[in-house]
Amino acid sequence: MPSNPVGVIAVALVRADLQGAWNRLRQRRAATVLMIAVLAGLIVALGAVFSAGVAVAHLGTQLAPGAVEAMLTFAFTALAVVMLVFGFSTVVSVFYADRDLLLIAAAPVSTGAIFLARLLRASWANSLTAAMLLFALWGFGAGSRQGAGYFGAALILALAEVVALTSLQVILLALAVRALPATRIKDGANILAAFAATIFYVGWLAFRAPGTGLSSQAQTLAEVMRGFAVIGRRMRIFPTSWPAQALAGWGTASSTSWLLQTLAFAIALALVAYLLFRATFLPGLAAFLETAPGGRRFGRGLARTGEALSATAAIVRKDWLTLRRDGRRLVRLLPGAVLAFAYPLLFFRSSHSSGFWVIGFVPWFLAQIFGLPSVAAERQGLHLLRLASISPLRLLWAKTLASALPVVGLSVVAAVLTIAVQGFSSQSWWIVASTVWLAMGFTLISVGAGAIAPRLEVDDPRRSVGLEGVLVALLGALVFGGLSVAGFGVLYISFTLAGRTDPMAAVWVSLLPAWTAAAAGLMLAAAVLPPAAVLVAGARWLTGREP
Amino acid sequence: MSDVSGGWAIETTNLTRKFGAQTAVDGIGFQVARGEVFGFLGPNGAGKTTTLRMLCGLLRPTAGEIRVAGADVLREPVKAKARIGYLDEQPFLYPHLTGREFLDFVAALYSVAAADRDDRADRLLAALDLADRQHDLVAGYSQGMRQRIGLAALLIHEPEVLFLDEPTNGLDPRSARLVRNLIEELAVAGRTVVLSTHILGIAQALCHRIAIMDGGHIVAIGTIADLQRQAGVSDANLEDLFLRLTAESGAESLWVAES
Repeated sequence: MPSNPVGVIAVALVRADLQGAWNRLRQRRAATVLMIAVLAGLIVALGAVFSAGVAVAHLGTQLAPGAVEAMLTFAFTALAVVMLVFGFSTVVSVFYADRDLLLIAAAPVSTGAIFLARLLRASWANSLTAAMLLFALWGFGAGSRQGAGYFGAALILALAEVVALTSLQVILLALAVRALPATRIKDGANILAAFAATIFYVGWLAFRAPGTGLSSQAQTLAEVMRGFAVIGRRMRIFPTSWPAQALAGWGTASSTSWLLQTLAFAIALALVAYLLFRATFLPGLAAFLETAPGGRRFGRGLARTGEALSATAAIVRKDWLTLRRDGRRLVRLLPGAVLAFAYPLLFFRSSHSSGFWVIGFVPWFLAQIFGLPSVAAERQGLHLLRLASISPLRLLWAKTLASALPVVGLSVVAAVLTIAVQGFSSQSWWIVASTVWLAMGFTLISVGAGAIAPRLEVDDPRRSVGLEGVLVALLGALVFGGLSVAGFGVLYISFTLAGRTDPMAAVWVSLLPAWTAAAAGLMLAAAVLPPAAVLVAGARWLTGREP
Repeated sequence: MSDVSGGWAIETTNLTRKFGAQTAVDGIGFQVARGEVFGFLGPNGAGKTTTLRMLCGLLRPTAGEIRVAGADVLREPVKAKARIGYLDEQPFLYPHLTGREFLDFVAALYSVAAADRDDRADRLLAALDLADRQHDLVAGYSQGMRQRIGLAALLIHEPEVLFLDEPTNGLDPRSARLVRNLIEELAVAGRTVVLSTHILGIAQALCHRIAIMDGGHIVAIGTIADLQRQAGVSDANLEDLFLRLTAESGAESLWVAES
């Protein structure tokens, strides 16, 4: 049988990927509607970043000569960080863990063709972010009246960055596959992905925050530009500054050398990635698709001998055991959990900062991470629970308990860290109380919303809830958060006013019961209406769910 | 097979299930006696799995009545499900629990008392040849072990009626024999077993009565002798009966064109 060239095989593999995606889109009407909405949003977003590029071209050069290169470096580095944070699990799946790899590995196809096809697929996953960068670069080119060569170079440089970053991730994973014993490859790669992504993201935040003028709310555009110039100088040590230098000084002799250097770097990384992939493809496949036996044993059971477990307790305990052992899921949850610690330390350096991020954002964010996918995480086990007559509300309650532990716990840790950084004051108790309140409410809402459209066939918790569920979670959180903040605000203001010693103090004290009643009404509405509505909707969906 | 004086273990009338315009099960009705092993045979897409899932309360019928172990599955689902065990073709398992933990979990779902749970888990793990691997993650189990731990989970609450969808699917001969023996023991112990299978030998060896489904209908039901009578042949084996009673495809030999 004559063997086909690498390119032909790679094209056939990519065509199969695209055909599969197109067929999925055609089969699901909701997916088509979603795709149209995403495309419409994308066009608007691309137009916005293009305009931003034009604006930078006009303003940046007038305010600070070094700021343009800095902003371009910032953009290229931002793309790199986004790819590293969100792309690792994609790279794991595409290169080692997708089940169709078994079919491809069994076919007479060279590893080179597989690598090429998979590199294109993984790069495609990052194309949206890369497109944003590209349109910003093109906007900048249009604003600064660059020639056609600039636009082509911008396209090439954006693609080179995507290829380089994907290759870097393949290299890291392949090294893990090579270095670790077979039974630990999967865990090791997952931990590497989680920590690399988290470290990159936290490092990025830490890098750009202090001393740039950006972290403490710059007052003027000039200050912002100066801040970018500081960042730009710091970031010159990174290869992501090379394409920026090529484009910022486009037309000069050095720009061509920066362009070539960037391309050479991307090609070199791709070559190293290929060589390592070739050596690790089959062992990696065996480890990730569990074609080799695991051999790890666990001594303790779900319940100790003689211990009676209620169904709710059994579900909660099972979820905790599963979470600890499911490395792939943990990897996807861990970066978010680490951010709960990172945010307070990065954003609350001054006592003037408000506690909004901790009180509002961190519990909401954690609830989205832990609560939203919790029902979908049951996957086919949902039918087992249904067979055992576990009512939907009981399941949602168990899921809320299981999710509330990390959400409330980590939110309180973030709040305490914030208080420690800012210093203890009378407001500190308010911060802790409202954090706990919001964490509980957001958890209830996210668990309920996650039951509205769980995608039981999806392994990745970040994609395991459909659009309806995500939108209900956002809306429910918005209503709950709004009512809660209003309630806490009224309560806080009334106590503050009542504590004053001015001539109006007696009036404020007399109004305290009315203020308190109003606050209690708002809090009650927040506690009952949005969570109840979302939980009932989720329970109804679960009741109607059929295998 | 037990006599039916104690009432039917399963009674259905006019059982229908539609998925959009497609009718998967079309007005079927039958009874299964207590202690009976009852088989569903039929080509792919005949409606066997849909029927089993309706009988155990996983799917709601478009029309019809179902009583299982004396309880109305549609009106008293909790009561009925407590008496039912269902093993899917692909058992619902949690890969990140060990086999033992999975049994503990299912026991808790069915409110099995702690003392009974440990005793039953030990017996089932031993009977299904899983005792040595009970502390391994289910993710590391072979297809046969997954099917067997699914069976153990099915039996942990000692259901009166068991529904088994392709219970020997993907099993090696030793595991298949283990499952066959277990079904026989369950029947001897008075449990009612309803199984769907493509393996005609198992159906012939285990089932007291068989229903042959095709296109959402029961085209024949009864003992082998009954089926022979309904098919109008006196000495046919189950394979011949099956092919005669279900629509035979006009598939051509793959090699004819090349030869």
